[in-house]
Amino acid sequence: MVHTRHLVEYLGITGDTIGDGEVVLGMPLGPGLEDAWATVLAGGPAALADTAGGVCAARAVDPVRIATADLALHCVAAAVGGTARAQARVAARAAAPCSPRSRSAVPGASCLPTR
Amino acid sequence: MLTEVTISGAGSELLAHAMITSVVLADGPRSPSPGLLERLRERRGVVAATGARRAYREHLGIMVEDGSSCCVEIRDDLRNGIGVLHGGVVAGLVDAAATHAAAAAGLTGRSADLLVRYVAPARTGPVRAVAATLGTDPAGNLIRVEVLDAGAGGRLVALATARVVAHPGVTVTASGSSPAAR
Repeated sequence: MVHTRHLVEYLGITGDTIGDGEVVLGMPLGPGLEDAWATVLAGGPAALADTAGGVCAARAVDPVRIATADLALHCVAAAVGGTARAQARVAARAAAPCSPRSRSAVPGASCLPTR
Repeated sequence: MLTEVTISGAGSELLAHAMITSVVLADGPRSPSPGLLERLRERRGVVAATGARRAYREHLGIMVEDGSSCCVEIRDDLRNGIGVLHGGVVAGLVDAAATHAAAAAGLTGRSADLLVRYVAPARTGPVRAVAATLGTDPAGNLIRVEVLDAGAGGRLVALATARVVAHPGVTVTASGSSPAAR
């Protein structure tokens, strides 16, 4: 099967607010993201959180390239239906620059090589 | 950079909370791709037709190999702005492997907590997640998941832990989950 829709389009993720310092994305819940018990699988919210966090971080350090180093997700309710809203904000900028470019653009940002 | 993400439902109730550490790449393309930001902006306010959405794991192409491992091929539509497997797909694979491992151990449930540490980007595929149960208690099973890029010599992509809890109405016993109470 040929998949032409990108992941964010399949998930129905929309950009409600895309600003510097805050990003709000929407994602419809319901069929497709639930298991046989009609509870939301963690994978959908994880993809939403990773997208929102990534966009928020990238906006904050633009034009530097960023990638996710770790993701901690805690699901507190198994919601069904409606639209989920993911509100992302930069909580902290951490230490140890490792390249002149990243140092100039993001004072104190951590850094990994592209492998 | 530490980013905090709060996911709320239609009634503003908290559904999930995430903390994400992002790192600056020393080289490589920009991220996220300008195309992604444009697509998100264009879709602002658009209500997606959820009825046509296929099951998430089926859409990703996650294949269950046995009770402890799952794998996924890296399609172009599953890559992120820097051309590697989207971190959300890796997390979805971890979720699938963890819940299948829990089911194999007798616990039918969902991942309530996921902690994924990304070690290296997955570029080649197939990407395999191998799960092992670390421990159990009345609150659920703690599962360790190792994610490997099988097409890149089995390079470690991520290490993760997941806490799988029983679905509402399911009682966890020493011998596994009770019959469904739905």
